[in-house]
Amino acid sequence: MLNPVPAYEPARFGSAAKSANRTTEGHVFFEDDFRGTGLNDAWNTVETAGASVTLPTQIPGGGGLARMALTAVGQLQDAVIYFGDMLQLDPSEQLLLECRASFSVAPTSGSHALIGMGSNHFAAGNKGSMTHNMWFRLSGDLALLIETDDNVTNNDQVATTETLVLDQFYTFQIDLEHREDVRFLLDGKRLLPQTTFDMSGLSSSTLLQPYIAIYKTSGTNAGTLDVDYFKAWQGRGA
Amino acid sequence: MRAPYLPHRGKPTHQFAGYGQPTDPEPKFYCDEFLGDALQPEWTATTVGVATAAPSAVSGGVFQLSLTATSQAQDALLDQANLRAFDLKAGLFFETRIAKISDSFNYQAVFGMAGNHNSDKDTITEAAWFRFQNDNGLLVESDDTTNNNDDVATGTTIVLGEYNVYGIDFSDLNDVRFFFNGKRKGMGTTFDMSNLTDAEALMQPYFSIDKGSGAGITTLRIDYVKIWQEVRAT
Repeated sequence: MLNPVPAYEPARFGSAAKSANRTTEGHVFFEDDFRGTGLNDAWNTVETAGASVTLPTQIPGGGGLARMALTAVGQLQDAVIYFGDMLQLDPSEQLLLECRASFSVAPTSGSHALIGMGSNHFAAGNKGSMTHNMWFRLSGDLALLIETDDNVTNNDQVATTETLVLDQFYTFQIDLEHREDVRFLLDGKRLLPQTTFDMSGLSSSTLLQPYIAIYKTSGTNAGTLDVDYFKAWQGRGA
Repeated sequence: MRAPYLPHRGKPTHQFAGYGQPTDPEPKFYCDEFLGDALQPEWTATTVGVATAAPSAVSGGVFQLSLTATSQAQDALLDQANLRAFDLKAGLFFETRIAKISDSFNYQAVFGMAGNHNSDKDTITEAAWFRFQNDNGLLVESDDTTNNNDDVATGTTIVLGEYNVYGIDFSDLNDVRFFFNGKRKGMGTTFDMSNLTDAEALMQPYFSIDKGSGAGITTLRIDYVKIWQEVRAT
């Protein structure tokens, strides 16, 4: 378990790397650096049609990653890593999610990517049916969008001013310190600070899971999402 | 305001320019929060009868051991398949956070560090663990094959449904110490495990509930397991 400190820590949290009493209960912390030949057993995958989730070898720079890819075959494809609908991330516990990822093949018209968290999985074409979600989204290109849905307030495909660069890794963060004002950060910079992403409609018992996907419902469009790591922190509930 | 994050643990032992001052090797640290839909590969979950042992969709992730109302011998066990990778002679500290969700009769629950599994818990050759037996009174036990402290009452009664932090400090095997929510328990007893051989001192984390018969139901939720070992392999 290496470096369980957020890459970009908002100032209000104080200095990172505080010394700890070794019997402290601490935060719940999850990390996967996607090393080795197979996914950590915490994950489940969806690989519909020719879509794939692999841990390629010989990554430039090393370190390992999860590669989620669509092929150019004209068909519905869906590549997802998630907790297999084992919902355990708690928005009521000041959840902070962090994911470092890059696109090595850009989504083009008809292919989409999601990086964030949601409730139970839905297949390509029905992702919008997911009861609760908050994620970064790319839809047909590298322009970065944000979406949230607490089953009361639905913010769909909210445009940011950011366009990702192919083959460049970014750190994506979603901060639920305040559910009524969820914050999305890219490389430590808050996106759309004037927009309120309100998830206060979530009940106190609502739980979520990590949800990272690239998918299309038809067409020959490809797209490859490389996930370097995924981390999540939350408070330890009762 | 959030509580402080866990300490940074990614510092190289033998330093290179730019990484700060050299340090001794960091203690070995093992942690499982039981997040996700399957156990990490080092664990083995075993059930007898219709008992269950599985991850559960609870905030922050838990692993749940349950005995059901079916009247039969049942065992719900979580261990590391007798792959005893932790050394009690290396300054080990064991910690777990557990809630007992339901309670009945005619059962026993143990959790701590143990040698090889046996369905008869008292037959396990060497172990140090917390124990519940038919009620919510907390007991502690240790056995180093010579010194056997069985069913030592702590005077503590837990509340069903509440999480508590259980710790066992093996830094002095002449005087192993048990902690409940940070308070030392069983102070009237010396838990001497100094007779352990080097091989016997290698143990695994061990969580079990079982019953021989009857309709009693019992559930344990394991929030996390953390193990620190001060000295690394030599």
